Amino acid sequence: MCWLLDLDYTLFTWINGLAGKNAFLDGAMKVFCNDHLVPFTLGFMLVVMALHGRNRKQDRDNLGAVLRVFISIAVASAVLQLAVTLLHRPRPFIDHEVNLLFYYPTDWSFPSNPATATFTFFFSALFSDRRFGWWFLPPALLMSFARIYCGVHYPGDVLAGVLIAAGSAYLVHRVDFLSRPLIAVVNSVESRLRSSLSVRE
Amino acid sequence: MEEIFYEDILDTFLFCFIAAAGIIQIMAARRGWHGLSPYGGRVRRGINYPLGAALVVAAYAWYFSDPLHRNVRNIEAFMSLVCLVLGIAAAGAVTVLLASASEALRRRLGRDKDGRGEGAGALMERIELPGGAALISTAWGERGENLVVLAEPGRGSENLMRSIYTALPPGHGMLCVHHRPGFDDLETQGPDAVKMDVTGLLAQVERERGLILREETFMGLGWGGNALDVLAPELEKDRAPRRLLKVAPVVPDCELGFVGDALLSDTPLDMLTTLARQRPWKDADFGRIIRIWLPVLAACVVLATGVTVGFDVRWKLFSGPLTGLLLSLWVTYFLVRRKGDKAAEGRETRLVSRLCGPAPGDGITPLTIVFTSEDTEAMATLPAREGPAYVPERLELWEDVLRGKFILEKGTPGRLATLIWEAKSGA
Repeated sequence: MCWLLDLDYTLFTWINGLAGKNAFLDGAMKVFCNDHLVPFTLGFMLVVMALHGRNRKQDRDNLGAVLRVFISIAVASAVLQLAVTLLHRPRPFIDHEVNLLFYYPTDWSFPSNPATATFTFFFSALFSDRRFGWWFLPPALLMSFARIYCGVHYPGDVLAGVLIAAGSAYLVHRVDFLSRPLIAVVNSVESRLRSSLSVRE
Repeated sequence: MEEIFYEDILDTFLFCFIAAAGIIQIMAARRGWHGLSPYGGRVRRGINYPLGAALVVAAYAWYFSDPLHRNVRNIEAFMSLVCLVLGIAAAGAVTVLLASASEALRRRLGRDKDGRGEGAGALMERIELPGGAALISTAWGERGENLVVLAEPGRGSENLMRSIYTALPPGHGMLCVHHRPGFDDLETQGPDAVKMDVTGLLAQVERERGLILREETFMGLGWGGNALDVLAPELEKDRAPRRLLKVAPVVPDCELGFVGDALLSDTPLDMLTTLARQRPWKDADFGRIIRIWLPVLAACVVLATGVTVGFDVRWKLFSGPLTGLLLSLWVTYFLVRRKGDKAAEGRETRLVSRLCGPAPGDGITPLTIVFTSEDTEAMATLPAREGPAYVPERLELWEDVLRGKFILEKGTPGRLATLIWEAKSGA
């Protein structure tokens, strides 16, 4: 276990060691590290995902995919809360000298909240839509990397977040009965509304 | 470790709302969802794309220009998710309201401009009948010089009929029969019931007005066009129509299993009024599902709220009932399925199955079918309709004309008048 933590710290020092050498890179990493920019952008990408189909069949599939993303986020959050309750790992700047480019987060470091959230978007979207899902990867990667670069997470925190995200998304997609009722309700409403054709003034 | 939050909920909600509204406008233009046009009429890419892009850019620029939103501890993750979901929902709701209101205004202004308001109302008289309503022109022509229309119910359809009447040449009469349940409910009522209803409505108008509705031109508009398939043999036997016209009948996509897409041409308000007329809550299946769901909802909300209160979860009085609601839908679905309910199969599936069925037989009356532009793709998926009803000689395609609220665009009243006039003179 100790060697794993050492490896994690070594990786952290490599990445975080890049901070403070290039103002442009630091600025860019601060932008991607932001609590709101990437998560909200991924949220808006879900709106695009829901509406980008070519016909009603694709629309239904896409709506189902978006619902599965939200259910995956709920499952991932539950697992994350459990992990946070059981494991208390302090932030890197508590125990070490780091190049901190961010405010001082006061919650536990492991697993990474943003990595869990953003990679849940990615994996869930990817499992539903092999083409569109890949658009979620670059923001998720950038944000996770930026969190290490800015000194607020260890690589191990991010990796744990990625694993929780992948597992939750896989579970929701594999165990169909978790999402089936909500998708059935949404499809029923969609069918009623969009088949309400009329010829009127 | 304890988090300290400087919550900035309203700003975050507004950011999500503005950006989502922009994205919805871009996607509505891309999909050609004219029903979601925020300025009435058709969506125009030249307007919607820049408008949507400007909203998205403005939202990002405004939100992230505030130092509070840049690398400062702010609202927590759960609240961010709530803001995101509510912002997107609010953007959808405002788009729906704006599209409906602007289109209603456009229709009113259009009526006033064309003199179709009070003036056109005086030219046609409304008769309330059991099982429907009828609009009849105050002037009535010689036999064979009049038009009988099977139309959808509702004020929007009646206004459309008045507009069409004002566009027809003078000296002709027009009777519009608005079957109250609507012809889109053919599957539930059954073809025989519809036949009886319409025959009854026509007979009643004949009795009340002393008319004989024989050898006239019969037109079915929208779902009325589909009803003509069912009614044609009866009409040919009893009323010897001069000609049958099916204008903008509903063409289902038989491959994908959908009857169409109302967003292409109807505002959300149009869709809701159509839905309200169908009264889905009167369905036996619906009532049964509600009876199962309500006790489950109550139990789930109490249980979930108990858990959130017991564990002192943040936003416990919001997250508890919400979790209970979702849980109740989940449980109800499986309870309903367990009891073998077929409601999930849905009205639309049954409609598609009927409309994609065998083609009606070739009648003796000349028939013309007018399709609007959005029906052309669906028409190609009609494998069972290679029969006589859709032979090219009988088809007329109104390119660039959409059904729903756009049926009167691109000079269609004139084209309709020509079609009916030619139909009469050709007969």
